Amino acid sequence: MATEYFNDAWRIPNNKNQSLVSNYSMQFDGSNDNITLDNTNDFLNVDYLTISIWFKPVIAENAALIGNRYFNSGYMSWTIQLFSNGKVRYLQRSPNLGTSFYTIDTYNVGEWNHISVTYDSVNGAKMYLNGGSPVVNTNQTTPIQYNTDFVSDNVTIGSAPAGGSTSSPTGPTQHFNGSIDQVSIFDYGLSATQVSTLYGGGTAVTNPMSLSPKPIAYYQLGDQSVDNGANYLVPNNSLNGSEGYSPYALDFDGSNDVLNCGNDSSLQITGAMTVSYWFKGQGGSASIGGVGKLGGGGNRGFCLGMNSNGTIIFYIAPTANSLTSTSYSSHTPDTNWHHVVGVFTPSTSLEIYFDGDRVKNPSTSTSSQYNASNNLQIGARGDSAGFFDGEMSNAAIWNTNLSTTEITEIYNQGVPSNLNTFSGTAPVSWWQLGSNSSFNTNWTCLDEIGTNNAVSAGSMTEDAITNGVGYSASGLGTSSIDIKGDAPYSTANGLSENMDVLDRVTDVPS
Amino acid sequence: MPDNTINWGQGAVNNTNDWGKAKANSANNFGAVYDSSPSGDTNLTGGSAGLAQVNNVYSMEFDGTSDYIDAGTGVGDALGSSVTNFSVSGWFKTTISPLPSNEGMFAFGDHTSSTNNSPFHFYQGSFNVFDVFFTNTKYHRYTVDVYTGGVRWINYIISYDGTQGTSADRVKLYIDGVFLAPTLAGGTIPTSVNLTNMNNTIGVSAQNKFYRGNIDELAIFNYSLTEADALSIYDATETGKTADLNTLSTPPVAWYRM
Repeated sequence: MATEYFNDAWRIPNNKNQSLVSNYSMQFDGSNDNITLDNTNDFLNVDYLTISIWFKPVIAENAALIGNRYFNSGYMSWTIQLFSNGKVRYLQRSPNLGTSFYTIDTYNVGEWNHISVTYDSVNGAKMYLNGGSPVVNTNQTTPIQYNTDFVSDNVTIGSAPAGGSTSSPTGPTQHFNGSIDQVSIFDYGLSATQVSTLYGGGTAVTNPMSLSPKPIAYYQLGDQSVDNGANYLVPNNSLNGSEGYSPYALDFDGSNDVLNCGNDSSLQITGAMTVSYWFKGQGGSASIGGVGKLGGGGNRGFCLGMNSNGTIIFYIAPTANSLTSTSYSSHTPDTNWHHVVGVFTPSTSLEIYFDGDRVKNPSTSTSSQYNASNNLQIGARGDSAGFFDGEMSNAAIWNTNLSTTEITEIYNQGVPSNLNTFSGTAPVSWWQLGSNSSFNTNWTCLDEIGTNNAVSAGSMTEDAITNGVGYSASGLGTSSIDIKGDAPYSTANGLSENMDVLDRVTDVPS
Repeated sequence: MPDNTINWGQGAVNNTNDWGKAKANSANNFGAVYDSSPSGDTNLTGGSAGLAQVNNVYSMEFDGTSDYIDAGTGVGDALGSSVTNFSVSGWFKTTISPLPSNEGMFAFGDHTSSTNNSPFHFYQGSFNVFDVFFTNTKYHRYTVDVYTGGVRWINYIISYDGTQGTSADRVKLYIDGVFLAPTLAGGTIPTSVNLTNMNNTIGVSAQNKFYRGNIDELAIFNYSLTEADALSIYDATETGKTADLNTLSTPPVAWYRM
């Protein structure tokens, strides 16, 4: 990875490691740390399954690396465990068919190890350690098979999950002391050759996304995880291409949360323009909320926003006291991510694109825009007389009118893309909202193109950062987990301390 | 390149290692190019002995209060417990208002602890004093006003060679490619250092001395850079470009582009 900021640290990888699959891992304290994967069991396959994990133990002790439910034999479950004698065990339970386990020697303390467990309902499970030969079950002649759905408990990394019964739940146990990296889950049983590929031959980690089919869940762990003030958000980096360029978004409360981008001359657009952002939600209290500079009479300005009914409105201000607009009312609020674009072509048209389709394009005689003095705001009108209620990601503004083809490109089949590589005219500003954003007392979101960094106001707290477009089954880690600049075959990667997203500057030796 | 306003380059006459091949047009002859003839002073303008270049867009800005970068123990562990040769190169641009005072630039060790727990650290004692310490009593001190003419980016290279017979020869400081002799020395620079399990930190050194200013292109080498190496790194830098350290015959073991 290149140098990037994920709250609350700059990842500054050693230059020679930047092309590697992973540069950062997560270190678990052996006491309380773990990561819970959201909704993972919803897509676990009881007929076919592969789990792959890299781990680097500090000491040899009994601990769990990953699993769903461990203790209660009345549920379908699986767990990969370590033992103080250096052995690794894969344990699986089935309520009607008993327990089966697979034990293999010997993991290395203080070094990175790789475990893969493959399972299919015909042949049972196989476990591989560091590219070696697989072991099959070691306590039964015939391996057990999963025969019902998995329990609803989420998969846990870094400890045994919560156990017990619904009426007498028990907390996580067997916390792992050491680092974990590159966890991937496949809904099929990898062949021995594929496991060998994944292991990388002892010289490099193979990106699990390069296997076919791709994993159904892939957690890079350290590289992109963010601290939201209470927990680490751990994105699932494998959604078969449906995830966006930015793993994160920011959540606006609909009452007073707003990002202020200032009113730099680059934002004082008086002619053609395009506004684009991704959202999940609707307008909040009063008027409309979205992205723009709209003010009251005497200080009108553009705005692409929506009201609480989900109606999307694109305003352009021909004068200080007048507005022209077009609206799209066929969208009703839901819980899905959507992409909206407003395009103003002077003396020609106002257009709204929704999820890649042009849904409004009335003609207009307006030839120019009033240069409103309000700041450009994200999440609210320019005068904060209306707010957005929900999540927003990847907002961008152009001082040109994008074509239908160009909007198809940025819609990217529902996946926000890297606008640094946009084929058309570069945006004036682009805010990922969440990625390359840091929280101190406010959120500061870097303008990836221009210099109009966005700073939050209102009650926007650190936990406003949330999963981005297309991201699901992400992990939630305890806050005492440490990000380490150490991953398999990638060491000495830098991590900033106490630095924010503005501490990277363009002042360089000359 | 920034004009240098002191006379470091003047002592380069009769140098046989081609140093000084670039940096012509610098004020006060810093970096002016000299050949190896006894008469010296032959300016070999034209052509640069600098390394190949790579684009350089960003640096990191440190607040002098709590900002720093921790790159873990990976480099120290790789270098080992009895290291006889290593070098550190980096570009620094201090903030001089207020004047620098005990600001850590780079270190191996525990920056929160005493200097005894830091086997190597490089820091700026004041606006014109730079110290290279090996724990707390073994050091070289360099007194030089590098800011005459204003604040600017400066390349510092510390080259350690514990195999040298005398303590004085075991540490060399190059500022903008030019060797600078210490003005004070304390103790005996060790013949080897133990860097195992030592974090390398950028922008802070022992006793939580934090750097105030910008840092860029920090690199660590597992060998002793020569004066020619130092100059080639310096020479390759111009607006938007910096030396591609991977084109050195032996690339750095760590290089933080920032």
